[in-house]
Amino acid sequence: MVNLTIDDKQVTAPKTATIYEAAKMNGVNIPILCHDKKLKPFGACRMCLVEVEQMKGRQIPACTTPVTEGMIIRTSTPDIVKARKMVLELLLLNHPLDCPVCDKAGDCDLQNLTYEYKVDTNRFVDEKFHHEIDYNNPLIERDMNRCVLCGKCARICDEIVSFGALTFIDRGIETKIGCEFEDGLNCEFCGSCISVCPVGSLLARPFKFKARFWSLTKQKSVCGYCGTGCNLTLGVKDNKVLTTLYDENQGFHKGQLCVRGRFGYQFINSDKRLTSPLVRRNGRLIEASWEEALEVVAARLKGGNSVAALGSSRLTNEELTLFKKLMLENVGSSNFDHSAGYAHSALTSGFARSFGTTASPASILDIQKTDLLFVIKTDSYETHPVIGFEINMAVKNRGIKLNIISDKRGKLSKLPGANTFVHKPGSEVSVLNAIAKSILDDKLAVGSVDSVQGYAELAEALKAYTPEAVSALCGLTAEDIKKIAREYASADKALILFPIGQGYVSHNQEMSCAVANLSILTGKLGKEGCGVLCMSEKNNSQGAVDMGFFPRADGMNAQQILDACKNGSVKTLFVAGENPIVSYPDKSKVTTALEAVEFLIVSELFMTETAAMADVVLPACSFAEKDGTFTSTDRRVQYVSPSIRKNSNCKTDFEIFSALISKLGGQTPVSSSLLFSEISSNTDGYAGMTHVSLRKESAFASVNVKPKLIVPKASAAVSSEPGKLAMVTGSALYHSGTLSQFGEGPMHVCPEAYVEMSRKDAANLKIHDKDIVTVSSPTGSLKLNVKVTARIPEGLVFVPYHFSAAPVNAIWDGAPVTMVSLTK
Amino acid sequence: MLCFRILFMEQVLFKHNRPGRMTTFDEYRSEGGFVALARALAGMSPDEVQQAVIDSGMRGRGGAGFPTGKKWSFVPRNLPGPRYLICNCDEMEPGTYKDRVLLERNPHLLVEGMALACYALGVQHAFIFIRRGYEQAADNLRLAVAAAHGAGFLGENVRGSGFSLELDIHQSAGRYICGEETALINALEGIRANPRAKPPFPAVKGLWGQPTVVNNVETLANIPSIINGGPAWWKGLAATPEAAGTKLFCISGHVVRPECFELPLGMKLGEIIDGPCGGMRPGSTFKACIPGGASTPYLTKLHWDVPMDFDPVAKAGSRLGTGGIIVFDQSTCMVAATLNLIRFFARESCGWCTPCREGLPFVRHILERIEAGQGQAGDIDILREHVRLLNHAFCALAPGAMGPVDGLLNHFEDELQEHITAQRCPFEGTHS
Amino acid sequence: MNPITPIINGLAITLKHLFMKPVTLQYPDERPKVAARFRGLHALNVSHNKAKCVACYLCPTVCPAKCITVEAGEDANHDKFASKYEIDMLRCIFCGYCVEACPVDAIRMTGEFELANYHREDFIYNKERLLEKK
Repeated sequence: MVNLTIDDKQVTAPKTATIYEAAKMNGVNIPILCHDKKLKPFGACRMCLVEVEQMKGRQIPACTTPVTEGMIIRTSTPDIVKARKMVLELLLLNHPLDCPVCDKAGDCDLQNLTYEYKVDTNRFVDEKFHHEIDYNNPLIERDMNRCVLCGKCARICDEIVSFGALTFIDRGIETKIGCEFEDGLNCEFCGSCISVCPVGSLLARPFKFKARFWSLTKQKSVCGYCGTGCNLTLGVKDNKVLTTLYDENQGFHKGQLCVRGRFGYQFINSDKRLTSPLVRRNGRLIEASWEEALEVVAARLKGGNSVAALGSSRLTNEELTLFKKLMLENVGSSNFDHSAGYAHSALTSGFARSFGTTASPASILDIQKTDLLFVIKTDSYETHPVIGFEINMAVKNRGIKLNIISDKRGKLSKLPGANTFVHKPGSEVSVLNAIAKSILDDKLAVGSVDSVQGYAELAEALKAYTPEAVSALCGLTAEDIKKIAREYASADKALILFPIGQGYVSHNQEMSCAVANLSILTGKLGKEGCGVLCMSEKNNSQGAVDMGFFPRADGMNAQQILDACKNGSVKTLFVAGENPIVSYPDKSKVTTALEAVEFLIVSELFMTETAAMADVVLPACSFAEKDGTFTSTDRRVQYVSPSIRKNSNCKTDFEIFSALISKLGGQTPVSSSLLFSEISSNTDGYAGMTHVSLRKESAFASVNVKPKLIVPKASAAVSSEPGKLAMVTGSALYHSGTLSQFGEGPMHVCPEAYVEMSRKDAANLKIHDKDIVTVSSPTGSLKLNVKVTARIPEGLVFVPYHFSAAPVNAIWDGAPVTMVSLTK
Repeated sequence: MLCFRILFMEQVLFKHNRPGRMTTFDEYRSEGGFVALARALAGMSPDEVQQAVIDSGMRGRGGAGFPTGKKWSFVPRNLPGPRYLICNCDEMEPGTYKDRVLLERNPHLLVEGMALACYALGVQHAFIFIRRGYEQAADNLRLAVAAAHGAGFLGENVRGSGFSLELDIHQSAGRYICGEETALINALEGIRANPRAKPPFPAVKGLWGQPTVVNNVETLANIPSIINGGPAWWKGLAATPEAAGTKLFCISGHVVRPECFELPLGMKLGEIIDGPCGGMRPGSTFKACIPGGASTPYLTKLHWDVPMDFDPVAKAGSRLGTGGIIVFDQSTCMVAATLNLIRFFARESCGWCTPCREGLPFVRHILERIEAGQGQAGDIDILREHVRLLNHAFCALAPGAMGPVDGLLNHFEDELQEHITAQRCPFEGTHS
Repeated sequence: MNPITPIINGLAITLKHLFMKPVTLQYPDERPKVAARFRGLHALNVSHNKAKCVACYLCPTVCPAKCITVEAGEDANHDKFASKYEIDMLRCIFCGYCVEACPVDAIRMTGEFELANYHREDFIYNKERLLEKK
């Protein structure tokens, strides 16, 4: 810490702070246009000039000058005010004064400063710019006429998003921010540039002209898409969520969001939302009263073990607990599951065996504290973009090493110094086992490892996985495998990341054990910057696991439930928030099962394919309309409060389950916060949390690891068939589950499913980019648009799984790799 | 007396020059070229070379006049990893052409100087950053580098000393801002040529994050003679005891012989004009001059006896800069001359910081309107305010650009006022 | 004082006024002449055959009675215009702040003061009705 004087106030600041940061910490506000907390200092706007006595009263920029001991700083002498006024006058020389029609007005740094410094007349006159406004995409409008060239957009795109869509072009007064070849913006559309723009140069088009900043109510919430657990500020007006707002002080990600978080909110106020309970009468779904619908449902739930439930990991912890209670105590059935039954097995079965707990022994914060990141699948960026940003920053700013094993290349592969080892699809476990073997062979394991339970068995089992043997079937060289092992083991701190989800069948319990083995063998566990982070798919996937919403020994899992529906042993199926017809593997199997089941209850936001088959449809509420807690992938428990009032004819799932419990004669909880107290006392690591405390600040649920080495079984290698390509599925960058189909943003950018293939295969099959091809597998066929890209290796095709219009499960039966043929 | 001094003046940079063509490698060698390098490699430690440069009192010839030895001493000594030397040959300042003359005539001097500097700094990879327009100079340099390679003065293990050096010539796309050392480093890295924030200074964190020294062509070309003749001798080449060494002055404007001369540092302005330049053109009388490239404030008749050395010129309210003297006679409209320079700077601003990007075009706008006879009463005050404000810019470009405006306001305010009151340029029609 | 005098004085005043010009108006046969700065019914100004209003939302923001409802739209040129502009005259207090706040001189107040109507909904003036008052 250093001592310094700012405006006659004695203050202290950390040694690394700049004058600007030191002043801000101590409540002195220095005006600035080009500074953002997350970005490196820039020093271009020259608004933050201050006088430092030691520098003979010279005016220096506060944002780039580090503090030194004994500095005497003045932040607003008449000279400085004069200089700042002049900077503003110069900026306003070319800035169009169209505040009345600019959406930024009210939240505009330039406007605020102009007001503060009373620059009400301009002694200077010059011509305004006439740059063309970029309307090329539906999400981001770029009006360079309003730009003050603070460079924040270009910097955030480079430093954090690592896309580099924007940059300075031209020089002198003609300088502007542009895209390559002065073309329109064509990027990931995360909207980070919009969030940092101090003026109205970059605006969110979905929100354009919808409301003025000052008329919005700012509601803090938690994003309802992936498991990262990003915090949101929703802009609400007239009970409608109109936009997301930027708050650089929010969450570990400091307000940084991805495309679905920023632009995917429209499902909340969609006019496609269900507004009334529906009951099937004479083959048609007809509007009914809640009383009527719940009565019918309650009657059908009295079936004991012939009742089964599929929940969604987008429900709150409280709802999932209540759902489980309803099933176990009131219905008397232990047949309940979520996420197709396998998407959580890495935690519920894998980590449960390896670590003795169903949670990841690492947090997102460890990414910045480690020395080496070992990422399995480049898709980690697509599934969890904000974690991807953390990886970008770790690699670019901190020089953290990045090794990736994946079946295809991806954006993470482009990071400086990133090594991507592309293996054949489906061979993850073999590769990881070979790495473990290599660690043992090269004596890279920690000394005490042989005392860990299961060591002998593992050492024995790994004999079959020499790098040489594995290299033959996985496509990596033995040297590659040894190199990964060496680098992972020799790093001081190393963190493994891998995504799980319905699209990642191969990331199952076996793989998570194989991953766990690596961290146990090398002792990279239980320390800061070490461990394994299993990135769960949906916003409350980890919560669903923590709440125990997965089958116990006596219950059926999702796949067994579907089988049982088909053979008649399950007569009533209650689906809350899931859309199995689109998101579960093997569409025909799911459809047959849902057709066969006697009674299907669906609680949903939208009339999904599954809801359309139901006997009773109950209109539920989105995350923005209810209170409860979500647990992020690294077990950060966060409280959400209702941002808007719900439609009077919808009920939250909490209310639905409560009503059903009372109809079945049970005791209903008084409120979700009381239920949460019960949860926190019963759930490992949640002790001491209450809604009241979480409302103030989110908390991490502690993870208690009891390491054990488990022998992971590699699945049999997929034999290639001549003329056929190996298909894998997974997430597209802009989507999450099937919910993002109802967000305008994601759908604008990626409106439909596609098949992504390598250039070589495309050339061989004489297929071109944007062609429409029929992809056929043994289970069916599907017409898809073609995307020819450089990232896909030869012999592989990738089809994302989110889309109802072209569901990949029509050609995918849940195998990690499906052999398909493509025809035009 | 004056002519005598010039005739017998010792030259170190132009000593080997051949009229009308480039000195060949063999000619240079036969006249004592690369002796300094061989001697340093054989019998001097890197620290001794650096000490010699410090003792010589050499100040950077690129414009700022920062003591070269001191700059070198900022490079951390025992840091692992590579370090770099960059020769700044992005000579784009209007009025300055000394580096071109030097390189077109005798590029070997630079190669030897760089080799010595690299030896002193422990650099194994050096770059010559040359502007695109200097095709001939770049060609000559390529020949010189190849010849030095061939003779074993560059490359692996030079002359068995264990010292290795690679020299790369980078022809830049060319922008005035690349002359700023951090912008030059950015350009060399392949990114947009914007200046970087200092600190960290390049000597600590420069090219690819490694310690980097950026020196001017002329600075580096002087080093062989410092080693050869010794720092004391070299320092004594100057005309005054305070100055050190010789300097290339490149003169343009209304003089009889507008050429590039190597003259002792500290020679008086009047001596230079009346001596080697052959005086003013017939019919011309001296009105003012730019002493060191376009970014320096004007000197006037009052400064006729100012010794052309860094400190005395600074005392006179200007800067020695690069030594590119532009002489104006009585027929020159100083407003027009300043406007001409400001046009250049406004165009060459990189667009990074507000005062420079927005301020320079505005100053140009005001000067244009004054010159066109539409000046307004408050214009002089606005110009004065801009001189102050543009000092707060990110790099030295904007303060430098305001040098001529500052000079205009200090020495020719009455001329400016005349433009405004008369609502026309008093020199209209008399421009030569 | 003698009790008769005030009565006579009073009658004198009455008598005087009998021959003076009356201060009242025979409304509605006679129409009052409203002052130039009278604040009556609002009107939206027109320029280039379009309402000048750019839907900046300053009038609903400043309105103390919260009687103005604006909704902005984007036209074919990506420009902002008021797709909905309504003033609820039952709530309006005719303070004129909306006119003062307007940055583009899009709204003014006319001299019209006869705003009686038979139905509540008729008091809500939409954009078309406000534009009619040229």
